[in-house]
Amino acid sequence: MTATILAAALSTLMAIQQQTDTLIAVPGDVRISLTGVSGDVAVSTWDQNRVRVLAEHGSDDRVNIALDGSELSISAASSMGLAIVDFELTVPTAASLNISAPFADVRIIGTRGNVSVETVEGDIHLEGGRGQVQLHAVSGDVMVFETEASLEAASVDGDVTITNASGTIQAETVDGDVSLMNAASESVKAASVDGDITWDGDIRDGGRYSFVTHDGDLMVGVQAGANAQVFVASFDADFMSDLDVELEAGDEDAKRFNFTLGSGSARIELESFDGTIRLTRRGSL
Amino acid sequence: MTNEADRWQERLSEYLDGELDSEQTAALETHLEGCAECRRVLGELREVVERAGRLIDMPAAGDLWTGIAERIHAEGSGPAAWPIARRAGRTSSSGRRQPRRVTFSLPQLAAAAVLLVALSAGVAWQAAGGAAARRAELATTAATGQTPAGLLPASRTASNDYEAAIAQLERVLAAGRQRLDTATVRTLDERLAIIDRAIDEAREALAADPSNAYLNRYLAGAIRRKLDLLRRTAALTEL
Repeated sequence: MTATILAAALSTLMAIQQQTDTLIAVPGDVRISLTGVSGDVAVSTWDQNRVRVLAEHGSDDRVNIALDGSELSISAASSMGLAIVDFELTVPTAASLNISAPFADVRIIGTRGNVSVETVEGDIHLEGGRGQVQLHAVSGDVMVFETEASLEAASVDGDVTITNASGTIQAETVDGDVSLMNAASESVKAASVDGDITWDGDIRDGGRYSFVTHDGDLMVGVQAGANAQVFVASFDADFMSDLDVELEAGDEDAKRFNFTLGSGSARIELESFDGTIRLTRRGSL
Repeated sequence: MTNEADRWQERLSEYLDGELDSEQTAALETHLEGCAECRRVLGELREVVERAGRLIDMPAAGDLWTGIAERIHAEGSGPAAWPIARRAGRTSSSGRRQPRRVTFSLPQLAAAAVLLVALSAGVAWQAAGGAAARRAELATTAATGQTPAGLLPASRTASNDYEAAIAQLERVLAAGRQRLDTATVRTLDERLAIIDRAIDEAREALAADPSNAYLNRYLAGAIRRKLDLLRRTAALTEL
């Protein structure tokens, strides 16, 4: 496959570069799918019910665009095999995006619709997103900013970084760190197998927060006055707290214990099989 | 653990079922106020029952839970079995939901937690898997006569259930991996190895401390991660 990509890339370089630049009138809530892309994808928004598709590609490549009601499908094909096309899309602010880009970095800025992105080798960068947001990468980092959505962000080999998010959050990676900064959420699940997890955000009354890692450290910063029952479990992890805590069940040697902050309204689960668990104040991480 | 705690822990599932009389309920609640260990076990029982409820509520062909519950019930009929009523049960012919009882012994409780998580992943895989995965799964079923992971016969053991699900996904992946870039395959193999190492470490720790609920739950989570990664990898062959 790599040889195929290289051959296609060389072929594209040798071919005359072409540009496709098209404007399509669409409904404001258009659902846009961009599939099979190898190249870079950049999506921005505007307050117009039109989609602009700007694509840089070789002469052997072609860009296919089809509008069917509120569904706009965009794809690329090449007579030489794999098409390598750089896309710049400008879409209505409320558009929903479904991007499947095996070999591409995807950057989306300003959308207020649903977003679904899947890459194999490439980073995902999202600023915005509402409703449902699902971001999955195999080899690549996932970075999310200012999203107000039910968010699912996952990588296999990469970091997941979420900043200023509100709504439910699920963040997971196998080999990488998870960082959740300044989140406002009542439902958070973050997990890594071989990486650290950092949380610096408010714990809301009645919320549920789960942080689980195997070989990494947990660093959890909570606000002064947080109300939560904190459940700590590990096989061989060390626990450190900068807060005054009084253990209620088990003890630190037993590696399973819980304690209460304030009224205990929320539930925080801290689990590291073999790392360090550190509970501290917000802003100190 | 004190004898007192031992005695009350055997009644916790009845307490959850609301089957203790008012005097016993009051006595148990008094005991719970002063016994952190019993409160912890009660919390874990509630978690497993809640998780079972979520699985029951998921639409799945063949009513997965029926076979699992019947098997667990059959295996858990010994003297140490704990009854836990589950009121999110099946719908009767009259259209009303009927209470259902599930019986766990303590080791079976842990096994059930593992199985429920693994099967949740299996159901999700069936619901969300790519067409290629489904085609390959059907081909596997036709060729081997083995049942898909979401339609588990009650005769299998809990352990075999999730091992079979993993094996099935690995076969799907083996059939489709030539469609993936070699670097991607290497990345996935290396990360699967990381998860396998975590699973091995959890199993090793569990062997030394079989009744450790955290380790059981942790192992379940690691297996779910492996199932999820295999499912996603199988779907990647469709991209």
